[in-house]
Amino acid sequence: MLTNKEKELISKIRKGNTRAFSDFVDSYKDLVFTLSIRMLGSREEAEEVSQDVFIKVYKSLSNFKGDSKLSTWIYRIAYNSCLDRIKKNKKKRIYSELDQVDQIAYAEIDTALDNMMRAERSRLVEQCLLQLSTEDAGVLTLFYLEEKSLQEMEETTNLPVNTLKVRLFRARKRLASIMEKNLNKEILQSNG
Amino acid sequence: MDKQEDKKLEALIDKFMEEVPMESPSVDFTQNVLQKLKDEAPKEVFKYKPILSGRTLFFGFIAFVALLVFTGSQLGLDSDQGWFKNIKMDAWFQMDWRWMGGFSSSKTMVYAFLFLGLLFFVQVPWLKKQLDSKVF
Repeated sequence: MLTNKEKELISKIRKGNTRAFSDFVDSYKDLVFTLSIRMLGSREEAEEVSQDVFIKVYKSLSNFKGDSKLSTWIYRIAYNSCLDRIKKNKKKRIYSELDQVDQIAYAEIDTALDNMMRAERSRLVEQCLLQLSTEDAGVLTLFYLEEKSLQEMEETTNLPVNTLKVRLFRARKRLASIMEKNLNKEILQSNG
Repeated sequence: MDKQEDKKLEALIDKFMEEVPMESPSVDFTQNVLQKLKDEAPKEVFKYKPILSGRTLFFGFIAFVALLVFTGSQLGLDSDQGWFKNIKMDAWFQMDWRWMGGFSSSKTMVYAFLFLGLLFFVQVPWLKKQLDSKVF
């Protein structure tokens, strides 16, 4: 599961090489921070949790057997740390309740977004992601971070593949609905 | 929703999610992580580790109580009973120690020493508790 480069890096960190650990943090910080910010919705909290994730990784690296991909193992620590933080805070993220989603005009959303500048489009999608629940945002982000591997997501979240499929479908549908709502109606009409 | 619609939804989300850039933490993120690790390191150096484990102390205590009971049962009520009378104390105190030749320990003295030993086991956890709450 581990590449030779990863094995070498882990071995150096275990021996107490600070430089190696610094390189390790640099390699994974964006991935961990992206997952944290999408799940927690706050930059400050995501930064704090991400730092704690790397402290945990450093302390438990000696227990890592290499049964899974290194990134999957790190995501698992990050995912659980975010869930713990949410439990500790006892406050739920405010998200759009979309229990009754009507028919969504996918083609129109697609056209409207295609007509936007790439940066503007990404900003809109990011905004919409922050309006999802922690669970939906976490599952959806992990799916793309884990390169769409449901088996690896199963290891990360400890949820069965079938449950993940259902959650992913629900998250996609909610995101599409939020995107539709956020898109300017005029843009939709002019492209419709 | 039919399968065709599901595929459309999946394709749409795939398209835009893959475009969304990664988020980056603050510039000094790595430095902060390393600093946190350094700050935590001294705590581990001074981490309390008992010289004798709780289990060793427990078995030591049991052995001591057993010895206490055994000694008490062997000594009996009178000074000339039990195994103490068999010890030839005079042989130990020759030459320079002759001045102690007439030494004999009363039963009260023996029990006092044993009680002192018992107090040792009481004061170890008591002192630890005191030090934990006042010194650290």
